[in-house]
Amino acid sequence: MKRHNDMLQRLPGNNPSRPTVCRGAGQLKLLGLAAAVLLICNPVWGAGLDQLQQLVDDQQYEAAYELANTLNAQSAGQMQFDYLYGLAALETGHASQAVFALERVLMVEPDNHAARLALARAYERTGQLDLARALLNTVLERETNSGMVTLARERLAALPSAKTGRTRWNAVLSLSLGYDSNVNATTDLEQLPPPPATILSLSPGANAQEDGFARLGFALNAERALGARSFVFGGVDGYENMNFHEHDFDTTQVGFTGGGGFDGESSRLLLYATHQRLLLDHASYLSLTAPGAEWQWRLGTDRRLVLSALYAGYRYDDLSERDTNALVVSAGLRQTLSWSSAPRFSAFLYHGDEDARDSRFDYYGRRYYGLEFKASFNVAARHTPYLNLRWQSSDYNGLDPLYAVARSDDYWRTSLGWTYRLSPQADLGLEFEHTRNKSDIDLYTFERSRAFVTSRYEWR
Amino acid sequence: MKKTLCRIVYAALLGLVLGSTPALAAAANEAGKMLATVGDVSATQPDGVARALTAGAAVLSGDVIATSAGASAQWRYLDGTLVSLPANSRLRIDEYLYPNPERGFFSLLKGGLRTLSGSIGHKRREDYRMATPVATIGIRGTDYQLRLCQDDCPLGSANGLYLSVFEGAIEASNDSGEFILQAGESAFIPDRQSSLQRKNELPEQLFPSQPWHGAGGGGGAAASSSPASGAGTQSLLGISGLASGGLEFRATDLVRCNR
Repeated sequence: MKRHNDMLQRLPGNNPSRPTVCRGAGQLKLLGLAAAVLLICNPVWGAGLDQLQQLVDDQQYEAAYELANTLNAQSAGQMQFDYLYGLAALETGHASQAVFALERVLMVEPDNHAARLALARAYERTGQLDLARALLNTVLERETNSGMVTLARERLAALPSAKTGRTRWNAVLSLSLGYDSNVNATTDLEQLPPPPATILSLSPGANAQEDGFARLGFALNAERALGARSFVFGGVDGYENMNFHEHDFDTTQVGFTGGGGFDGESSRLLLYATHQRLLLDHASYLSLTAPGAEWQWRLGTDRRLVLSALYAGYRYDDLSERDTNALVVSAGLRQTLSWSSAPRFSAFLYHGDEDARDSRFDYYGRRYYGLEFKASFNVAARHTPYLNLRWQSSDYNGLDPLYAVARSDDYWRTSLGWTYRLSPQADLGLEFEHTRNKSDIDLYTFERSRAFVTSRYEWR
Repeated sequence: MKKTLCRIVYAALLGLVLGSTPALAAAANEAGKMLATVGDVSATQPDGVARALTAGAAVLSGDVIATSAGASAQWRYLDGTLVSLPANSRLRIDEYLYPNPERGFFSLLKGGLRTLSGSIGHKRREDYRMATPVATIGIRGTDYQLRLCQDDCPLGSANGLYLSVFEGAIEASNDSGEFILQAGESAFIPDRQSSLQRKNELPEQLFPSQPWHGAGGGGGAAASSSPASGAGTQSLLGISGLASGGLEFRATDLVRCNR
């Protein structure tokens, strides 16, 4: 409240040490008084700010900008007006007006990070990417509200490429510790209903094994601008997942991704290739190589439509009959709401068509489709709970040679977590995850639960 | 009741205005209004009378407006032109007339500025002029930024005039000719005899840092982070993650089958 009062003191109409011109100062004061009386007698001016606020709240930015322009002569310099005017100008494509209005807000209230985020967008629109980046980094350094910080991070990531010739880097290191009820993701049944003419029992240790685990994750990414709207990027990421006892199921993954991007007025196209390799108990097991394309289209300020396609080759080092090629396409929406808790949602629908390379083993191929949903909220400064859901339905090609039926699976994964931000670079998280795969062949039915804490640090 | 009261007030106002001739004289000289200031901002009239400027103060034709270290100011002229003056800068309002006739002649004496043009210069471009020791700037509906380096710019920056245009276009003229600079373009003019050199970008440190910019600068995150990432790894540039997520899902499925 005190800060608000201080701020009001600094506004033109409330400044006790308001300067006057040297000549006729007394008369000008009288004129000022008269103007104040005029304001009182003319309710249109008093109501204008409320109406402007309402229009901005309702996201009627065109009407808000029009109204703000009529109020501009008498209201510019008042912080609340300047902020609303800046937002309306920004959303209606008047980025230069937004720059001036929002700079005024920050001159009066330097800790107004909402205005700083908006000003960063205005700078971005006027091509001042370095300034935009500086403002977003300032939000990351100084803001304690998780919603603002998350928005700043997202906008830093979405900022068009750096100016030509510059390379941006970031690196992430994380460590997770937790419990896994089923490290090998298999059935918990020791004996299975026999397939026709066969008696099947799993060997000791082949059914569900529980264990504790530690996971070390890393990522290193770089981006370099080629021109005003084009850039190249590359990165390496991966993890080492070590079980405390069941080392047969230790996994290591390393991935390389590189490509190029093109920024349009309201869209971004990414073309990339990725190669990833999975090691099982430190022996190479499976690799994926894929070219991909992704098109991101901004719908308004905080909504993005994403379409992607990926053509992937899966190759097994010692089980080449399982090799497949897959085409995966997806469509989804990412949305951030402008509430104080800055809730963010994303929902993706995807479809995969996967065929065995060797037609004799066509039962390794499958058609699948699924839905992935993610949501997170900022319930308090530094605190971000989140929920991730994934459902996938798969129908395999051909008959399973052992069971003589066509395999069909329903897969569910639910993750519930909480992230606490220790600093702009460091997070601490807690997550519970439950996975369930229901198959018409019991061998493939399993449930798995994991609980873990994660500490994560990012360098920029 | 309120209507009657307001009639009385209007009548009183009329008398007040008629009796305020000296104030009107000052108002006739008024070019605009200071909208916001940070730090020490002053205005000096040609007769040497100086005054401190804070938000709400009148800006007068003939003023030399100066900002000290760490200060900045933004004001609006009567025609709607906005000016933002960063630290250690000086701008003179040589002549400002509005609305009839329209004329806005200014001189950047030191430092930099950013300005978004208003009405003046829209009908007749010759009504607007921003003079510097290196070149004179005319406008074509514009948001532009200037930085005049006179041995007061960061080490390695040559003396001269640096220009960036964000909206519209400007026309820079000096002894070597006239040059048009469009939105999105930047340029450098070393001196009054030299022609304009177009630049892909201007060094960021050239423009005095504003208090709200913060110390961050450059080097943002190249990748978005996912709060749900248990492994702590990330998807590059927000790639939807179906590729990277697919391998782990498949692996756990297959580990069971082959062990």
